[in-house]
Order: sequence, then C-alpha cells, then structure tokens
Amino acid sequence: MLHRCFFLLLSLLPLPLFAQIQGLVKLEDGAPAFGAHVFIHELNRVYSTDAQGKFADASVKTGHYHLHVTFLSYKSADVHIELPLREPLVITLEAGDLELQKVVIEDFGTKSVLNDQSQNIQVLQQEDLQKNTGQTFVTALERVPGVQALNTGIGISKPAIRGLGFNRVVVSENGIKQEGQQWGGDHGLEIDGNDVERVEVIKGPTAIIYGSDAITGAINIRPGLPPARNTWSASVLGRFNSVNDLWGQSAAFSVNKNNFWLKARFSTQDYADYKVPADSFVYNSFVLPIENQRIKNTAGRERNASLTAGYSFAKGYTSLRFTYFDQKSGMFPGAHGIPQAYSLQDDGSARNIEFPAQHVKHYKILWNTNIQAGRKNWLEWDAGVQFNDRAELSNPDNHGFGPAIHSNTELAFQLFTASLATRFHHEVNERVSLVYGASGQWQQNRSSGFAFLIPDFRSWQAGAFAYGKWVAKPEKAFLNGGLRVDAGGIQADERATPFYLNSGSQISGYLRSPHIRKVFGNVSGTLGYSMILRKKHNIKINLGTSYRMPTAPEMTANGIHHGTFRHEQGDSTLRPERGIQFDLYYGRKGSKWEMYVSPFFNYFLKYIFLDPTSSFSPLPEGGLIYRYDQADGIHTGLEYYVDYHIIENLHLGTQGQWVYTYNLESGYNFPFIPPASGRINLEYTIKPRKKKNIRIETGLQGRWAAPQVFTARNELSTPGYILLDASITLEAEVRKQQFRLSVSGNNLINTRYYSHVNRWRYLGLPEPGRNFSVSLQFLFGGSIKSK
Amino acid sequence: MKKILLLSSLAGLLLTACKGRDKSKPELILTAPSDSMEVLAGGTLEVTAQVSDDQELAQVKVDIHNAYDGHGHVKISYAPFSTIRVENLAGTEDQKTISIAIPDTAGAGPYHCLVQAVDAAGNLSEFQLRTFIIRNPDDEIAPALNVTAPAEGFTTALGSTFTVSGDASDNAALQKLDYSVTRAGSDNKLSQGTETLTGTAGSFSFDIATDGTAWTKGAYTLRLVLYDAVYNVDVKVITINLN
Repeated sequence: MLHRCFFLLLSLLPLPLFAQIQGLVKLEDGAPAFGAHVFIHELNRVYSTDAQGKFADASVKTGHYHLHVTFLSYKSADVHIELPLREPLVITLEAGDLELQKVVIEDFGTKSVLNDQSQNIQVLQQEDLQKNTGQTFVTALERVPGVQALNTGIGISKPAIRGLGFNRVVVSENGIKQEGQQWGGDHGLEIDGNDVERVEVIKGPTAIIYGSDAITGAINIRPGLPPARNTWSASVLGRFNSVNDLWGQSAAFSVNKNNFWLKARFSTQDYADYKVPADSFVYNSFVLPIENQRIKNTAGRERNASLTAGYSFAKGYTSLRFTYFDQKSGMFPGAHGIPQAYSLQDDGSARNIEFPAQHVKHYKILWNTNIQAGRKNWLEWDAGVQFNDRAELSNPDNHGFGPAIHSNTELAFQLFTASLATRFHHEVNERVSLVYGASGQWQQNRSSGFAFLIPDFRSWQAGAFAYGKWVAKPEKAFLNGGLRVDAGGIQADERATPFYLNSGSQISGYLRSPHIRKVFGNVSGTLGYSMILRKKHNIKINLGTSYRMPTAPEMTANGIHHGTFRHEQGDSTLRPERGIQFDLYYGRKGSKWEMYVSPFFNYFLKYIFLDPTSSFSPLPEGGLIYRYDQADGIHTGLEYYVDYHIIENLHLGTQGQWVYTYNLESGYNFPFIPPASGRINLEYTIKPRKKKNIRIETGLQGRWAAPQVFTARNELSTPGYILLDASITLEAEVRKQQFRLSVSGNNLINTRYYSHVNRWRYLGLPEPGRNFSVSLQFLFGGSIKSK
Repeated sequence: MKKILLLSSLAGLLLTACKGRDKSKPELILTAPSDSMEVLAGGTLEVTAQVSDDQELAQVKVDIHNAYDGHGHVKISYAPFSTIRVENLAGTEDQKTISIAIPDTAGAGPYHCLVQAVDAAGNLSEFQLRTFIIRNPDDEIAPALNVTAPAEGFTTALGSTFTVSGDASDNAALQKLDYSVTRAGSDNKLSQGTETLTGTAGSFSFDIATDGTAWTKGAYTLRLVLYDAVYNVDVKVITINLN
C-alpha cells in the first residue's frame, strides 16, 4: 500500500485561518519527483512539483483535506492531511507496473479510495476512453468488466451494468443524473464521449448514495482535473472509422488564471450508413436485401459543445457547466413497420438521413460547489436543469387507416428536469467519517406527434441518506453502511385519441392512457466490509436492498413504438420494484500481476419488464401487445479481470462477465439480457531507450460472446461469436506537446455475427463488419503570466 | 414486506398451475386460402386456421395487406385496402374460419394474408403467409396512362420547375391521377398531389418545383398512378435527375 512518511519537526505556526500547505514528493530511492501531480480534492486544485519535488500553496484554510498524487508509472498515493501541518509532509511513491495503480480511484460520493471501500469501483480516464473505436461514449465503457452497450444499430447506445440497463443504471454528470428518455429501447445516452475526462463505474447495490434507480450500478462522469494554476492547455482530435465512413473532430481549450478556470469543447461526428458482411437478412422467413452491404439510412451526425467555468477559493470551489448534445440519426426503414423489399432499395447515397429518423437535443446546466463548513466538514451541492428534446420522424403514410396526416413528427417528447443534491461530509475522527445527503428531482414531460406512446406527465422524487465509514483496523479493514429514505410521485394526464376502424370510420375518444396520480415511498439500506490481508488480498462483501418506483412510461405507455417494433402498454397498477442484493469481491495483487473476481446474487421482488400478453394489437402493424408486467426473479452472475506482465513490456490480460436471470413466475428469463462475454488481449509496449519521449503500444485482442439461449418469452436466441481486433498507438512528447496516433482494426476477419442486445437483432440484422479506425490527437499547453 | 423465501416461492409456483408456466408455442396450420388463389373484389376471402397448443389458446390474427412491391405495371389498387381481424380461440385445439369481405373498391393485384396465433401465456406461433390475388369482376380492363413529359432520364437544374403532362383513357370511367416525387430508393415524398380525371379519356398537365432545402442534386423517382372508377390502375415510374 501507500507509504506515508512524516518527519518530525517542531515548527508550530498556529495560523488561525490561513495555513500554508507545502510538501515534498519523492521516489522510493529518495530522488525528488519532478513534475508529479498533486491534487487537492476539496479545492479542485492541481499542483505540479518542481525540480526539488516540492509544491506549496499559501491560500488554503485550516482543515482536513485529501491529496492525490500521481506520477508517471509510479503507484498513485492518496494522503489524508490536516492543516496546519504539524510535521512536514513527505510523500514517497512506490514503483508499480500495473495500469490501475497509476490512477487514484476515489468514489466521489463517499470520498473513499478503492480498497477502503466495499463498493466495486473502476475508473476510466480520458486516455482510456479515447482508445474507443466504437462511436459512442457507452462503447468506450465496455472496457470495464460488467458494462455492456445496449445498441440500436451502432450510433445509438445506452449502458447496462450486470446486464441491466434502461432505468436501472444511473448515469450522472457532476452528480446530476442524466434524464433523457432512458426507458425507450431505441433511445441512446446523450453524452459526448470526447467530453468525458474521468468516469467512475460503480457496480453493485449503490442506490444508497446514487438514488433509487441505481439498481445494478452507477456511471459517474466526473470533471477532469482543472489546469494547474496559471497554465493553459488545448487539444485537437480527429478520427475516422471505415465501417461507416465516420469523421469526428473534437477541440478543447482550458485555462486557469489565479484559480479561476475555463474549459470549452466542441465536437462533431458525421457518419454514413454502416457496412455489414452480408447481402441479405432474414426476417420472418423473408429474405430481404442489404444493398451494397450497407444498412440503409443509418447515417447520422452529432454536434456537441460544452463550456465550464470554475473558481477555486480558500474555502472550496464552485463550477458552472453548460453542455449541449445534438444527434440526428437515420433509422433503418426495415425497422419501422414490416420490412418490405421496396423500402430497402438503395437510395443513392450512404450519407443522407432520410425518414424514419430521430433527432435528439439535450441541454444541461450544472452547478457544483464544495465548501468547507468548519474544520472537519465539507458541504457539497450539485444543482442542474436539463431539457431533453426528442423527435422521432417518419412519413405518416406507412400507417393505414384514418385521415391523411400532414406532419413528419411521429413522436416527440420534451422532458424538463430540475435536480438538486447535497452532501455533508463530516470527519468524526481519524476512524469514523459520515456523509449525510439529500436529493430531489422534478420532471415534466410533454408528448406530441401524430402517433401516441406516452402521455404528458409530471413526476418528483426526493431522498435522504446517511452513510458512515469506520476504519476498523487502519489499512486493513473497513466497514461502511447506510440508510436511505425515498419518496416519489407521478401524475400523468388522461389521453384519448381518435381510433380508426378498418372501414375508415372513427371512434373518437378512445382512451389510450388513464389519468394517474401515484405516490411511492421506501426505506433501503446497505452494509459493506472490505478487508486487506497481507497487502495482497482484498476481500469485499456487500449486502443491500434496492428500490425503484415504476416510471411514467411503465405505467402509462400505450401505442406502437416503431423503434422497438411493438405495441407497448403500461400498467397503472404497477408496484415499486425491490431487490435484495449480495455482492462479493476478491482481488489479489502480485508484483507482476493482478486479478479480481466479483460474483453477485440479487433477488428481485416485482421486477418490471415488458412481457407479451395473449392479445394482438388492434393497431396496424402492431403485432402482439407487450405490457409492463412484474415478477419475482433472480439475477446473478460475475465479472473477472486478470492482468499478467510476462515481462515488463508485454502483458496478457483477460476479462469477462456473465449474467443470468430467471423469472420465477414464468420459468423464462428476463428479456434483453446479454450473454456471457469477454476478451483476451496481448499488449506489447515499445519504449526506445534513446528516445524516452516516444512510446509505441501494440495490441492484439480477441472478443467472444457465448450463445444466448436464456431468453424471455418470444425472444430470439442468439448464436455466439469470436472476433479479432488489433491496434497500434504511437505517443510522442516534444516540449510538453503530446502527439498520439492510433490505428486499429476491429472485427478483422469480417465475421458476420449478431448481438443479443442490439434492437435490430430482432430483424436479423448482423453487427458491423470490419472497421479500421484512425485517430490523431495533439495536446499542447503553456503557462500564462500572473500578477 | 415480503421475505426472501426462495424455496417457498418456488414450491408455491410448482403448486399453482400458473398460466405463465406454458413454454411451448402454439401450432398453426392454415388450410385456406391456398397460395395464389384469386378472389373477386366485392367477394369474400375465407381464411381457415387450425390452432393447437398443450395449454389454453388465446387469439388468432389475420392481417391482409397489399403486396405491391413498389414497381411494375400490374393492375393493383392503390387504395389502401388492408384489414386486421382478431378472433378469440378457446381450449387447446380450435379451428376458425374467418370470412373477410373484400370491398368493391379493392382493385386487382397481389395481397398478403398473414396469420399468427398466440396462446394464453403469450407464446406466439410461427406465422403463416399466403399470397392471393384480387380481381375486379365488373371491369377487368385497366386504364391506360401515356406520359408525354418528362421523358425517362429527364435532367434539369436543381431549383427549377418542370412540367408533367400526358393523357389517359379507360374503357369505362377514369377517376384520378396520383403523383409523387421521391428521392430514388426512398419513400420520403418531396412532392405529391392528385389530378381529377373523368370520362373515358382526358389529359393532364401540372408543374413540380424542385426548390427548397429538401431537394439536393441526384436521382429522383416520379411515380404516376392512374385509377379508373373501380380502382384498376396503371403505374408509370420515371427517373428524373437534378444537377
């Protein structure tokens, strides 16, 4: 573990308010660490150590702080200090080869580092995310065992943790939960992957801190470190993917002057219809064409921007962030109504976005503040407003009966969300710390368009929690637990639409969804234990309960959702879903290797899912009615991760995940659960001895998925697959300017395969074929003059 | 709050003969109509389905829709004749004969008859599909459409207006001419309209403008569908290029 060396010095400088923080970072052999990053968590400040390994700041108040120190390939250090310092602060860094040890892993909700914490947390940094050769933020997260992307085509994806996605995973940015229309099967996550500097993936029962919807986990997008004081930095990134002729660009700029910082980013992405290794697909025993081996009308474009301003003052920091996400993507015409050969003919262009299509705009304003409240306490609050403006566009004349419709907006949803979360961190003593928190959210949805799926609704949620951490044996055993109280309510408006009979005659006022007004409440708890044995073994045990109130769509939907190709119907009598979760983790670290395995077992009471009824839809092309239903069930599985350095520069890794669900009422499995899958990779790093500023990484990767035969009623089973990928990355640094060129190939053998959790699996559409991805990035920066 | 009594809930489920435990799909045999069978407009299509399952059945659905493939010169109705009929089933074996009245306005052409059944637990059967042909008893002679402009492969500048003209005739009575312009291969209509025609012969001439942001350079499809009074049709498809 980390070493803290405190030297004796009897310098008592009792400054009542302001305290000087100064420290020395050195290496195991006693040499100073020049250029190490020291980050004060509470103030969001970064220092770079000088040639003597020193850093200092006089504008800090007395109190408790967490420092994170990172330096090249050394193990990161996490130090808890109290100002004024009673003795000089000397931080000694240990050498380490393993990638995970270079990053400080701290859960922002509880301010705990990896091993002190019973939760299973993994952090990805921007450089990990940029190795992504998919095109969405979610595909980048698939590097974390247990995280999988639920896709519609390839441009639209949402995350699943331990096989469960939709409303069961909380994705938050700076503490504010992202609220799009995450219930919808073909609705993606509205986050620009280029704009994520740091993300924490927390697996297991996390609802205590992250809110009631975090059933199987949370994905917390955290602000990256601000630039060091009086410096600026900029980056430009260009990317090309051959599978859909994607061109992406992203440019960012950040500056810090006297602890006031600004960050800006703009990203674009334009892509064409994606290529598959197939000329035809089989839907309902019809063989239908895939012209030019491209999935027609899957082109799209994205325009994303963000601006953040922040200030770090003596007693804390505050930041204000605005983000804008705009994605327009075509939908495969065969996925909209019954696929017919004539609608699948080549439309002459692979880059045009024709109907059907979806257009999503997501606006977000986030305000985050952390201030010192007395010597031992920190108060944080996160406030946010967001507006999700979504339109599903199509030609109305696919629909049969009724009068002519003169609009191309089939469904439109405008969701406004206001959220507030606050946490109070209290250090009782060196062994006990407490976090108290409260959060609230208010939502309003407006629906429009010529079709109907969900009504207008308003909903609110409020929760309060207390969470405590007890260091049972310093650096050896930790106990944490918490209790949460939640309440929430939904009010949906009655909606009736005219209904047209086959004869063309009309029944007016056909009730599509009733007026509902519901209030739910719950108490949940969690208890966890983490133990470190002989500095090598880490055992974690978690027990918790989870809770999720039914969402408005689950209670009120009634209509054909073309994106998911079925008639979806809500049930206003649904009860909240509850779960009892048990989670284990065993990690082991050797000098050349590390591994972990993490099994889990959850028992769900009233798990909510879309279940086929025994009635056909009266709506044209509606198929069977699928209604939100509840059943008790089991959700179990595991993740594993192994990394072995055969020699220093060559390492072999493998990781994977397996999830199994069982519906105790029907004897089937729950729908849309990914099969067991994993990857094996071999990486070799070339570091030329003479040119220390150059680094070349080469890698070979095999990805596999088992067949998915554990399906829900009427769900297709999916065969397994093995894919081969390769990559090479060149990194060079010249006078603080970094340059990175990556070339990678995915699915090199051009295998025709299916993903069980792609919406279009249902149509028999294969996954993308061979993809070559090239990305080029420059990072540069400098200092600015200060007063 | 419920207790976690896994074993007792499993035992409870085994005791209850819950409808949800049915995991087999129903068997569906379609004895009528036969493939490529002809039916006269105004007549009746008989659909006979035999359905069986090891447990309770629920419904059978017949979906009739136009099998027009977007091309060709066949006599088909452009009037959207389609219908859905859902009948309830009972027991573990049931046979239903569903009589579907084909309206007079349904013109000639190929149609699909798609049949599927579901059991009480929600298991869907494999579907059965038949193609049948609707003929018009009163007037089997299609109208004739002659387009004088534009010619096939006509090329004009983006943003300009072009004229569509020609004449039409029928043995009995003309009704109307529908037209639409789509980008080649797409079904997104950039321009569409209807011209009324009467009598046994007539001519038409109208303009189509190609300005507006939706139009770009490239190939477009002009589709003209001429109807007679009983919905027999003649279809002309002309490719137009904008540059």
